[in-house]
Amino acid sequence: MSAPVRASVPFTLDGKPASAPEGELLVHAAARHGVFIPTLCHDDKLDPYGGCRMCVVGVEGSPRPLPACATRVTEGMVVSTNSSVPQFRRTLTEMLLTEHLNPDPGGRPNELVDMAEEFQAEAPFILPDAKREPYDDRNSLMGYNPDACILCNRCVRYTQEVMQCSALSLEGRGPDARIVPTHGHSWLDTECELCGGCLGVCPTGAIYEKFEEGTERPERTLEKVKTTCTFCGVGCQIDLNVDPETKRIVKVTSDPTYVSNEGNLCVKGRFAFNFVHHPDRLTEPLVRGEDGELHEATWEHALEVAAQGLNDVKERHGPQKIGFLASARLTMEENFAIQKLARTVVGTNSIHSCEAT
Amino acid sequence: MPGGAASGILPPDALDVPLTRDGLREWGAGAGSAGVQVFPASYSPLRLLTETMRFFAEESCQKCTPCRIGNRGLHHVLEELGQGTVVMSRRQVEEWLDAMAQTSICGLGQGAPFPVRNAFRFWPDLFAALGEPEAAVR
Repeated sequence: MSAPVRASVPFTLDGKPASAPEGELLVHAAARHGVFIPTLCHDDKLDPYGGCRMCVVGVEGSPRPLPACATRVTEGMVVSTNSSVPQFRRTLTEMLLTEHLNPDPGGRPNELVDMAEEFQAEAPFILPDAKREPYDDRNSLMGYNPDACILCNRCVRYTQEVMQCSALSLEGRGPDARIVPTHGHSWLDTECELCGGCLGVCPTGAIYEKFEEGTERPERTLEKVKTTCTFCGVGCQIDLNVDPETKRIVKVTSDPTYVSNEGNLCVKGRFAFNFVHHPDRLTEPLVRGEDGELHEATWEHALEVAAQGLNDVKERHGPQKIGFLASARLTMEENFAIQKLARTVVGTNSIHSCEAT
Repeated sequence: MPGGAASGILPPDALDVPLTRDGLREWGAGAGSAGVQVFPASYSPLRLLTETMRFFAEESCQKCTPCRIGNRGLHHVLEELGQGTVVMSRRQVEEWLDAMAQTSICGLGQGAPFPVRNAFRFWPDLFAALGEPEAAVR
């Protein structure tokens, strides 16, 4: 849904004149003017939240700084990211680090660690009750480590606002607080479809892929190869993450800037990539020989054999004895071509696609 | 302790102060609910402050970082101070209080620093081990 076009209004950013559509989030307006405001709990896919407070900025007339991720531009607004703002960022980072016992449970990027380096923030102490009850889920795709979780609620909000499935909830307070499957003992007991969207939005890698055939390498050292998911005709843009040494795909990610899926994926697109390297995968056409066994063949020969077989059936039993089943993995154009083949070449109307069910 | 937990902690000298906003403002406190809690001299202000921070930590709704962790952290600092251990300097404590007062979403996190600053003001000896407040950046 596109937002209505709004008039551009002037405002002041760090003493310099700026302009933005009225009502634009301050964090976006500032970014367009080259002022990067760090965020942790913010995600462009989600409604403004303002929980982590990392993005607070001074706004003239406000008794306290306001979160840039949840404050909208108004005409004449005077915004400052200087003065006390850098100190707040450092202090808030220190606070989060006092219970950040495991910054890297699964090799995913950790934005909190990045900020700690940038702001030169260290935990002054570790909270004595920082250790939270570990959580082991019986699903085989995703793990959650509360020792890396900063309770930004992005995963919970993603399930509610994007997937509309309420799969995850924030439970407990203080040392007991953690993310849990809603009303269940496992993500498999909830409405969760294992799309991995919660994993994709997690800023600290607290939710991570638990693959047996994964890699020891952190995600940022993997080579990303952008491609189109082959599982259906939607055409989601994905990044195959390749281990630079073994040249094997070890995970699939997607970026919010990618058109058609905006970084969202389904369980197949994100997790079902092991067919690529699977020993059973067909890489050459096979034709059954006189000996009853399958033998590698050229495409020309394989298509010839298939055409001959179809023609034989048509001659002996008529075209209505032949049916075509199209795959959901085909595009619209490919589906069109296959029904054309069925109707005009073979002469049957018996054609179906699993997309219809 | 006039009002609620965030209204401030006052020394015996303040007993004659009128229970009004103006009267209490001079002492860095507020009237809050206009109730008064009185504690015996045998109950250390440090203990009272520690328990107050525990209360805030337990009451925090968990949404914002400064309230969720700030109160737990200060409770830990005070608890350790009661044992004679310094885990954070006074300068850093002031930075944390400032972040809580300024960046918390609601009155709980914003108000929690009041009793701490009150106690620093009226019982400086109890917190001397944390170091000099002058070193604070603001």
